Amino acid sequence: MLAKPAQGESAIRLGMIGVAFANSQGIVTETAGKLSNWLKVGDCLSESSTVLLGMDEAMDELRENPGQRLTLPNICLDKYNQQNFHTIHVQWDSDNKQFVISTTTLEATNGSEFDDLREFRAQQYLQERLEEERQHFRTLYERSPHLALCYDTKGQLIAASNDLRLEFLGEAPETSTLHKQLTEGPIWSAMWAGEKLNAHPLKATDCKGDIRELELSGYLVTPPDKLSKEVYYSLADVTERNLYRLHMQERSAELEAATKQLRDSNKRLSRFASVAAHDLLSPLRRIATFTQILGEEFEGPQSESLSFALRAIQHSAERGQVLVDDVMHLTQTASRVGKLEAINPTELLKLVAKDSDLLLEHSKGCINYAGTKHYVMGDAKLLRSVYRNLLSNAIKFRDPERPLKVTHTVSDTGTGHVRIEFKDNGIGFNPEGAEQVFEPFTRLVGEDQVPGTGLGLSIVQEAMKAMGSQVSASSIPGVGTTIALMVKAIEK
Amino acid sequence: MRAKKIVLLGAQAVGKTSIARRLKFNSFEHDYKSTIGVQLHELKLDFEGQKQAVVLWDTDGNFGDKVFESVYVKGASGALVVADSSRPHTIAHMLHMIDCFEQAMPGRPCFGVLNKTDRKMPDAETLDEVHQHTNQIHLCSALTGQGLLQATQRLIEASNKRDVTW
Repeated sequence: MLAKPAQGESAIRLGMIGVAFANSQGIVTETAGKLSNWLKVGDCLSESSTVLLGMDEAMDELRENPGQRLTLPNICLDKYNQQNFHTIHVQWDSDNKQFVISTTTLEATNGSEFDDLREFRAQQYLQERLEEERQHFRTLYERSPHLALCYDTKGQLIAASNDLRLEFLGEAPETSTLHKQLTEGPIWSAMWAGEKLNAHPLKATDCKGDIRELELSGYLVTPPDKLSKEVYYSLADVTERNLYRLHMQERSAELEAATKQLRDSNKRLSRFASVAAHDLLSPLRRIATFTQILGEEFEGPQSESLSFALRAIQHSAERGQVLVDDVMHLTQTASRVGKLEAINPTELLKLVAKDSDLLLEHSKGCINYAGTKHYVMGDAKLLRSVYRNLLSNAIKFRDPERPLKVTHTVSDTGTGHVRIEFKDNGIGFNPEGAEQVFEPFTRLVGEDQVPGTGLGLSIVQEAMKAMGSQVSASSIPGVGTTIALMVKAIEK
Repeated sequence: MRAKKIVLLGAQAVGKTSIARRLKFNSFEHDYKSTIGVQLHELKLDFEGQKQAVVLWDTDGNFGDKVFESVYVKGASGALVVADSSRPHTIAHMLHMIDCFEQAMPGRPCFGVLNKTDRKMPDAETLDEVHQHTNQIHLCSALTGQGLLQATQRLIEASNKRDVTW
């Protein structure tokens, strides 16, 4: 039903601020007074009006209950960004089958009558924030059972943990050195400048008169009311920790000095061994040479004993040279390590075996290879020296009853290392000697049976150590020996 | 496109009015001025290439969950329930209000907004707790404007999906 034009005007004349009418579908049919600013004829109340937006169900309810009135109090319409307070009523007029929308507030205001309430709520909020900060402070010093305290704007102590009172503040906190430091001078100024202190070093005298080292954290709580500012401090007594740290630094320096001394001593020893070995070689060579000349000078019918003596001198001189060579090799191994590179150990062993071809042939030996595609990170010179010694041992300690058979197996352990097994079918040794074989000059078989200096496996171990790798040995007498090398794998 | 009514709910002083002001005027006022009753803001948001009319009902935080007994929430297309990320009890209140809204207006989208993240980001433990309660949580700041428009647009999107489904 269309609105009757007289209705709105008469309502305004009767003192209404604004009035509007809408038909049963909620379409505005007439507006008058203040409401004409918000509602226009043809607007759908539940779709385009600000206040009744989406309220289809609420309007259905009104239609079903003609006596009911929908009131929207204290609505603040923000048109032009101004605060205007109105109360809107909506009612269903069953006689005329229309909605009546009216505002009865005498005059729109700027809301200043709510200022007191606002002020009260603002104070409430500030109080709440302050309480939250205090709670935060309480939680802080409950969590850290050390030392905490807080001051007001005048430097009056508000609260302090019991430990702090017992240890530093005593019965007259104002006279304590800690109190003075916290409420005067640069720390107090920093607090009022709004700075936050974190683990600031501080020294204070405790109640026993001892000087303690402390770490101070502090901040200023600044609620906007500007009256209840408080300074919160928390302290940690780090005297023992600092002493311990100092002690550890001293110990660490001592340890470093001792390590350096040991390293220097090792270097000197190694240099000495190298020089000594070099100087020994020269007279040994001369002995060997002159023994040979002597033998040639006395050519002809010589007494058997003289011939034996000359052979013995020559043999000893030659053995001496080999021994000195090996000692030099051993002492220089660690310093010879170069940059590690990717090496195929199988190919390297094949090269070494080629050099020892004649010896292998003589012992009717053969080498079987497995895992030939694996690479390792190593120093080619050192690894070659390792293989030369291992192959030499395999030939020297072979079983005369059967042809020599060496199996070389390379496998990736998946732990960043490659395992190389060098297995022979030689005479072997007692398993108890598995660690002993790496000791310099250790021989598990008499020299009269197998010649050698007893330095071969020591050189192998030194070379492996220099490359950051490991070596181990296992053996069964009469069956053979296995030397296992754990070498760094190449990074994928 | 039909206008949407979005209600802003949450405890006192969590920044509901600041959020409304940021969305409408793209500005921020540092003074805290408590909202008495409700404040309405009409705004137009760009949404899928069109202007979407939105009426924000910025409610009085002092109402608590009694707001659901009033007409303010009636006919709302969705709600943004705000909490102050630096005050844990407002976060608990936010979760409670989300429950209340879902009960009063079943099926209508309701997003949690953790405001004031410029001041303090919620810790991992709090976020875990909130996420166990609801997936729709947005980290925002009315001071910088970060995350607000996205949260509102997502809410309208969710509301439109619901309209289509129904």
